Amino acid sequence: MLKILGMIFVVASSAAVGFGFAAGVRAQAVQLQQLISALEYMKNEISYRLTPLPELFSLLSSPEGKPVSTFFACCAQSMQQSPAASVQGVFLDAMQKTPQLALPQAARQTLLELSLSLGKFDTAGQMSAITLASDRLRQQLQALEARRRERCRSYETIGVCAGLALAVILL
Amino acid sequence: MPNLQPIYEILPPAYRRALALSGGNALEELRLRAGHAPTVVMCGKEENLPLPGGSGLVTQADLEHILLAATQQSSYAANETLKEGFVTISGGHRIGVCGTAVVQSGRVVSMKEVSSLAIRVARQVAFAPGPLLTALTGSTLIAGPPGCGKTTLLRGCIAALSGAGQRVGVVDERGELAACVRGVPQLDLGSRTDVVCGLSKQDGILLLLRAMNVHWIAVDEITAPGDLEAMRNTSYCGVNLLATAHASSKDELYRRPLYKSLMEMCLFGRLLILTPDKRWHTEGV
Repeated sequence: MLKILGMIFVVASSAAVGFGFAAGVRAQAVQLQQLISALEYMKNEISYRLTPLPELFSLLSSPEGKPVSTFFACCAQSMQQSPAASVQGVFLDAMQKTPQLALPQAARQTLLELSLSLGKFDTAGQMSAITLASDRLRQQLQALEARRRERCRSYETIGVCAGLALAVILL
Repeated sequence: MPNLQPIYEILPPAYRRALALSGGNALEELRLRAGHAPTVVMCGKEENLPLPGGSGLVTQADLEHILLAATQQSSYAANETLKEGFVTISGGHRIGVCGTAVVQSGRVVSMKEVSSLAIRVARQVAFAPGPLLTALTGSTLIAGPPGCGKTTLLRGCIAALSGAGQRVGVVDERGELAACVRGVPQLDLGSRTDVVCGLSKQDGILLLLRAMNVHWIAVDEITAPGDLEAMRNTSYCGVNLLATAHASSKDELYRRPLYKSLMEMCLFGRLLILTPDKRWHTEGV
């Protein structure tokens, strides 16, 4: 009886790890979509209302606690607390303070490159920098979506199979 | 006492420490010129401000850093005023900017290689409303030399009128009069005052006239023929005007071509003349 319980525990644990990885991939896609939407909103706010960055980041943060919103809330808070801080510094700090942000490394790099242009040029310069970042993020999302189904299935299958294999070995 | 916090927030730490040691509350201006020691203007006198550490001189990088912080890291949001050589920060403090203008197709599009910044401290001075209200019986022009407190007196007049139940519309082109942050004036202009920010005087005056049904329209610093035209249109609509002009006396007003035209229009019934010791008296036009 104890052996059976142990087997179930091993398989369940291993499968949970596999499903966790798969959930991570799905979260990356969802957050990339949220980030692209945020950049679209950013473009509209800057072109139509010339909203300064601290206020803009506040608008992008919502009380629902989504990771991308939390990231922008951290940015808004940092800029309000220290107006002299650079946008790149603010982004880096916010990334560290938002562990639930599951963006792929390429997306983080795109955000940091955007931070080098944000606020420094006129409205047209802001538009082209945000458009460039959006286009890159879209490409990354497309690539992620193309691989997502097979990657998720692989993680889940590997998780379950590894658990079964381990259970058989332990028996 | 002026709120210097917005100024401290945009300065690098060495400047903050130096300013705090110099007794910042009496500060009228902080002037920063690349390659020179920073200076402070207190009680009308300009003196060097010793910077702790380093060479003690202002660097161009410092100026760029301060200017970017003054625009909340958002140059695009302040570009229109930057092209005219200034940016206003929270609290109504104005930063004058000198540098190299970037000109495209004959128009200034931005400012680069900043060489000097002049940070002018905005002060909220409470004027006794009684004497002001006695003087403000109709359209009034406030005249005085630069730095004598015209904007401060204008603010006092607006608050006095508003407190006396008059609806006052304010065209705050440079964000100095009300220093609005997210629509809320940071400097007291009274509860019956409507403020339009960021609009030129010409457009702002017409907007207030059309949309807000005010008794008075107040503008700071008449500088362009277009301002005169907008005021002339307003003057025949039963609205009183309150404005400021750079001139140390009535004679000087008549010697400057723009103000001579203004005086000949007979838009103002009374002059409030400010003297360098920040006192005012009234004169007929």
